[in-house]
Amino acid sequence: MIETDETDEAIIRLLQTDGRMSNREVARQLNLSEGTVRQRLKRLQETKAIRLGAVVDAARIGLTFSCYLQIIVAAPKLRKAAEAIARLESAAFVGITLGEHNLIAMVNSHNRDDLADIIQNRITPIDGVLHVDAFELISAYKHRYDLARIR
Amino acid sequence: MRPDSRPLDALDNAIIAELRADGRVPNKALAERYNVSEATISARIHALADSNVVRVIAQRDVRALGYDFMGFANIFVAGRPLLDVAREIAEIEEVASLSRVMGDPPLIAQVNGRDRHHFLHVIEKQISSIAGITHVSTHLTLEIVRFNIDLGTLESE
Repeated sequence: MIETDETDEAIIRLLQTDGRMSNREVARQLNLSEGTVRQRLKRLQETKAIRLGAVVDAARIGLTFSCYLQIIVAAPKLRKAAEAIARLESAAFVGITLGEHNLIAMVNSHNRDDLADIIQNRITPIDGVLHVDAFELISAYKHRYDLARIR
Repeated sequence: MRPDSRPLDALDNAIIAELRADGRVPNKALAERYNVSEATISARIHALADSNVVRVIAQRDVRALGYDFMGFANIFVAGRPLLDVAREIAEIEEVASLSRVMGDPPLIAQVNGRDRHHFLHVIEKQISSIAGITHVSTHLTLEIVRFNIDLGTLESE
């Protein structure tokens, strides 16, 4: 776990509201030197405690249709199937899970026909895939995009 | 009309691509690259953020925050309006995302936990006890094979 102190936290809080705020502005607001801000950010990013990047709304760049897939894969084929799905451009998330299903994926697409095509013609035929439950996304009640898996 | 219904033009799309490649690329560099003023770039970036198209923010690593466990909860609801149940679930800190989906379960949540006990506590005590939830079925993530962290929903209901 990466240790962060009060100064790191204060810098992160500012950049959680506007990630493009300049080092100079961060320094001014926190009464620090620009060099300190630069060094702190360098360390936080290098240790992957934070990522300063763009988050794009999938629907606003045309990826209007999304689907959660809960899949049962024959155990010996699980890893290969997971990797095959992860290679699909439309896959936003692929995880090996413990539960009723052993693979969970999220796929995004530009239209519904395409989404159905990905599920029925790209994923279902993968060797080892036994059963696919598809749950089309209607809306998001919550999405903590300020939290991410960076490392 | 929703504020985000403005169509994106070529410059907007170029800026989105640039920000996805480097979230902190200076306005000045973009202005030179696209032969427009820095003020134009600045205004465009603000408009894109205000209309929930793209936002540059500091994202924190969940594991650096001590959350080593992640799983999904299929949440089944009956006898209470879905939105009321969803609002209560969304308030739980450990719930990273909550989606309304077509089918049964109507809700799928992504849940973070510090460890196995904490994860179980959130599922059993915090989520399952909400009125209107008939049962919760969980999938614990053993390994993440792919996770695009730069795509999401910027505007929640």
